[in-house]
This record gives sequence, C-alpha cells and structure tokens, in this order.
Amino acid sequence: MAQKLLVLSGVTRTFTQGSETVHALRTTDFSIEAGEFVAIIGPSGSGKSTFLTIAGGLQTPTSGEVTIDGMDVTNMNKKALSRVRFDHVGFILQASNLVPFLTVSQQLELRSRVAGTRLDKRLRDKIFHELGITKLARKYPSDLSGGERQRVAIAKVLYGNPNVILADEPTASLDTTKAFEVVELLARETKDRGKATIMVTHDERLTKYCDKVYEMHDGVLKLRQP
Amino acid sequence: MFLGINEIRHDKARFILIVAVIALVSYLTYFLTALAYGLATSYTQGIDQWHASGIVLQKDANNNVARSLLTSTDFDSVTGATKARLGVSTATVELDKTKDVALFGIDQGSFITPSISEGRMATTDHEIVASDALKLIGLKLDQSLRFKGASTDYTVVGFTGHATFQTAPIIYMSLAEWRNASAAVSGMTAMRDQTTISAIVTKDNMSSFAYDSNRLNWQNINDYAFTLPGYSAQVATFGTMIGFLIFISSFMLAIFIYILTIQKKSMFGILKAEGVPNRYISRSVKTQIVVLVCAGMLVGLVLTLLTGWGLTGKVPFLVQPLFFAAITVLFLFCAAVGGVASVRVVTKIDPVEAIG
Repeated sequence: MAQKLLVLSGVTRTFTQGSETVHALRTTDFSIEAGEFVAIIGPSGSGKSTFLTIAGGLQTPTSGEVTIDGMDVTNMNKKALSRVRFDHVGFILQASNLVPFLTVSQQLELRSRVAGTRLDKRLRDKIFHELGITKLARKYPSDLSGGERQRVAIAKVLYGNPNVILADEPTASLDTTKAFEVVELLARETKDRGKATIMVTHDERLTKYCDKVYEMHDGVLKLRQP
Repeated sequence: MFLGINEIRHDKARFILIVAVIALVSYLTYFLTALAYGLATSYTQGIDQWHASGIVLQKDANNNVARSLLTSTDFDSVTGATKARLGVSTATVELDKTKDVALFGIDQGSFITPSISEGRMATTDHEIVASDALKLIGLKLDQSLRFKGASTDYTVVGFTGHATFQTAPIIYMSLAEWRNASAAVSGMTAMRDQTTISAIVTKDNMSSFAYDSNRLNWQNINDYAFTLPGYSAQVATFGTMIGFLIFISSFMLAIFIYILTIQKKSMFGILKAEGVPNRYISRSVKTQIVVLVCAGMLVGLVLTLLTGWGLTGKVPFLVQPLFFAAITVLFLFCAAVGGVASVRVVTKIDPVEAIG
C-alpha cells in the first residue's frame, strides 16, 4: 500500500459570524496517497476553500488532526506551518501565483533564494523541457498566455519538489483545450513523480483525469461512487 | 534582496521617478544647507580666523562693534590675556560693481593679522590688503583703490583668503590708516583721539584676565558672533527650515514606500501562502528602501556639488561635511522608521486570504 501523504481525521472548522456559528467544514475524514490525483467539486461557498487551506497548512482546524507528509501539523504555530508549506506543499492557484516582476526562470530561482541556495539550472532545464516551456525562460508573466502561466506555475511547484500539491481552480481562466492540457499535465506529473494532488474545480469534464472525485456540499465532503 | 532588486529592474520607470523625487528633495536639503552655512560663515569668517577667546567692546555699544570706541586707557585696563587692537568700520568701493566692504584696522604682527595668500602684508601708509572675494569684482594686485567719499588713494599690496565680516569682504590696513579712512568715509571726526580703536580681541592666558568692567564688556567670541545683527535670526530661520524639510521629506518617502508595499499586498499574501517567511519578504522591502534612498541622495549630492561649483563666487555656498553627513544619517533613519510601517503590513497579511 502506498504511503499516505495527507491525512485529515475528524477535522472540523467553525467560525462565528455575528451571533451565528458557521460550520465551514463538518467532521471530515480524508486521506490521499502518493501517485493519487483527486478532484473536489462543489458549488462556491460549500467549504472547498476551507478544506484546501486546512489541508495546505494555511490554517489550523477547530478540532481534529491534520498530518502533512507524515508530520502532525495540528497544533503548529504560524512560523512552523510556514516552513511545512514551503518544504512539503505546492500551490497552484486560479490566477497563477507568479510574481509579476520576475522572469519565468526567476520564479523558480526565488525558491532557491528563499532557501538560501542557488538556482539549480539542471533541474530547471529538465522541468522546462518536460513541460515544453524552455522558450519562455526569460519572459515575464505578463507576456504569457493563461495556459503558459499555469504551466509555469506547475514548473515552479515541481522545482520545489513538495509531496503534496494543491490546485485551486487551476483552469478557471483557460479555454477548454488549454484546460484539458493543463490538467492532463498535472495528472501525468502526479503519477510519474508519486505526488499526492488535490484539485478543486467546478468543471465536471476535468474529473476524467482523476482517480477519485469528492463532492462538497455545505461543509460535508463525500466520495462520489464510481 | 532578490525580490527587491529584481522589482526595481523590472519596473524601471516607476523606480526612476521615485529616485528622482528623493534626489530632488535631498538636492534641495543639501543645497539649502550649504547656502545657509555659507551665509552664516560669511558673517563670521573674518573673526573665526582669529581663533580668539573673546572680544572687548565699549559697554554702551550694545555689542555693536561699529558703535564701540575705545582708547589707549581702555586698552591698558585689559590685563592678563594676549590682546590685539582692532578697528572696524565700513566703506564702499567702486570696482566692476559697487560693493560695501568692512575696514579692519590692525597692528601688523598681532595675532589677528590675516595670512596672506598673494602679495605681501601692508607695511607703509596707503597700503592695504584685501579679501580675495574682491577679485571677483575685478580687484587686482597693485591696483589703486579709493573709498567712496574719501580722497586718498590706496594700493592693494596683498590678498588674504576669503575673509568676510557680516557678508562684506574685509580690507585690512594699519590702525593709523584705518582712523583716517574711517573719519574720511563717514565725513566726520568720530575718533576720540589718535589711539581710538573699536575693540580689543583676547586670546589665551585667561586665568588672571581683568578689565575695567565699568566702561568695557568682554564676551566669549562665539557668543559675540550670535549678537552680530541678523546672524542668530538667520541661523535659526535656516536651521528650522532645513529641519522641517528633512522631516517632511522623510515622511513623504515613508509614505511612498508604504504605498508601494500596500500595492503588493496580494502578491506577498501568495508568497506567504507558499511558505516564504515574513523575514525574507521584510528584508526585501528594507533592501529596496536602502537602495532607493542611497541612490536618490547620491544623485542629490552630486547635483548640489555641481551647482555649488557652477555658482562659485556668486552666492555664499559652503559645504560642511559634518552637516552633510548628519543630514544623510537623518534621512536614512527617517526612511528606516517609515520602512517599519511597511514591514508591519507584510507581517499582518493573512496568507489564507490568498486562497479562495
């Protein structure tokens, strides 16, 4: 059995809005293994983002336990959580999380700089080649198409080599062909590299690339039976 | 470092404008300081050169050397210090331009004798030594000179360095010559007798210093400078102006940096979500501040020196390195304080907001 890279057990998240208590996430048990690519679909406000922020170590749950890449992060402080995210979690966001004033190559270099090391040119070239974006290395995000930007975002994540990849609506700004390409790429890299990838989307057509599909409704996460 | 520098490289136009604003503001501050210092110096240059301890004036003269008249009796009553006799009056010379000058009568060889930069010291009657400030309006060595309202011709036998008193260039002569010239210029015999002088300058050996305090008044030389008409008002005005200028422009700079940081809030949020520590982002903000301020101030300094060089002789412009260093440090300090506000913005960003 493959290693479980992300485990949420009995996790809830509530917050108060005025005098009401909002259950953003009801008691949730979830786990994902290396090489698995799962989709979470659901309407907006269903708790997808809350799930993602807890799974990604951006906030701690109200109750329950979270283990990322074998580490219990349930009671970690902000600084330690930040460290876990940096080393073990890769984010691919809706509007591509690229720094506008860095070239494509520098997006990757930033990671090394933060870690206090130099750009690993061989690793960069290998990833760029694999994703077919070698020609874009010196371009700025504003010069790229939406599809190219998401490829770069994926390249950036792969360069950091985290075990858990969280994609939040990665195809929201793309047309159908590009969206399929990007998700297919994500699925392939997940398999090849043995990552655990969770993709939040509301595009049903993309689920054909996924191993499992979860549905989220009013803070309740349910596995869709095949 | 990496983030801050690359942002400057990418958004060149924006950062050039910011550097330009800092440069102009520091240019203004440096330039005004040099002017104020130059002006203040031109009030007191003539007396600073003495390296004196103090000055004795007639008690009733209200610290105004031009109104002070002393005689040999007064001079003899001052004991216990190295002393030098001084006559001070004003006159007008007509060269390329009409110019007011200060006439200093001195005993040749006393410690207030100026050093000669060109020519020689005046030795006989009708010889004078002039401040080289007068060269700018056409005065030359061995030229003959007449004070307006007087009929005696004087020969310029030497020049001193840049010597001014209350902004007027100084002309040095013997005390006897000074008495004649002053009386002739003012059109009256204001002298008490043939021993009349304006002041007694003192130096060193002040331990057993004594003077006739009924008729005379001794003042520390620095205190005396501040009683020169207009001097203290001028120093206070410029000082306040420059102080406020630094304060306001540093504040402006801090606001600039703050706005720049706020504009990047969402980007910093994403970086924080990705696990980039606060420390790294804050450091890049701080690096940017230092780079921008240093670049701007360097340009401002170069502009100031160029302007000063271009205006040589036309305005009292004098660079005092200590003041310039103080301004630079103050600017950097204020910018750093402004930077703290920006760093707080960074630390307060909630990375959760970057997702969803």
